[in-house]
Amino acid sequence: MQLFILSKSNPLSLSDALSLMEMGDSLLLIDEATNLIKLRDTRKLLATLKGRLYLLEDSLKERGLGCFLESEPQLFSKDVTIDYQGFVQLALSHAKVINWN
Amino acid sequence: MKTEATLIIINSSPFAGSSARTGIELMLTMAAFERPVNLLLKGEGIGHLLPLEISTLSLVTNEAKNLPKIKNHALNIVALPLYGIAEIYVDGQALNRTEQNILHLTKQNPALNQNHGELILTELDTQALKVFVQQHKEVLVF
Repeated sequence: MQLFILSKSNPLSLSDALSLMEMGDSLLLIDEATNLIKLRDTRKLLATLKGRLYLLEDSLKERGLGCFLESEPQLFSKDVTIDYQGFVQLALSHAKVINWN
Repeated sequence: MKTEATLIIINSSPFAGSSARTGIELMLTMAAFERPVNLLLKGEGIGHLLPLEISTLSLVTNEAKNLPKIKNHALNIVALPLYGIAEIYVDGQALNRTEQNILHLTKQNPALNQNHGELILTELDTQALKVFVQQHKEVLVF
């Protein structure tokens, strides 16, 4: 199980990370990478994700992106957002953490 | 391939800040201390294999030859055999995107040719690359 962490708002990086992911892997968007949920094209990319998607709650709040979660409930489940404690638990529960830039 | 090694992925262009340089320096430091390390050039990172003329060509076509000579970034890469790193893995998809291949690169870039086969460039397709990353316990991306 691998945890990919994206911190930059770069669709190419997202696409690269997704191409390396398998079932059981997870993708966590933090900081500027949470802006990726604003764009229709990157939301389509996220829909192809084989593993689970997580978004850091504070990064979403800072950028006022909460409304995008409600617009696509199929893509963003209720437990898609995590706090810092969840972030730590997520990192510990995966065999490998890759900070993908 | 050393699977117990740390995998360093250079995903950024030589011209995009100091990130890639940091990755290469970390790799050389690890190699100097005999820590097993593998290098994968991915995405924009393949720019480290391109000679100056080619890498600049993508930014300013037709004017590349008139630009002042700046450091050929491939020189950093060709020093790797001195540190016991004889093989570099290259993202095949990124090569395709820029219409490059290993043979073409080696012919085009005199710096890569200097080693006469000491430095092996291995191209990985999308599936092989996925497996390659999974095989490493530690992965650092620059």
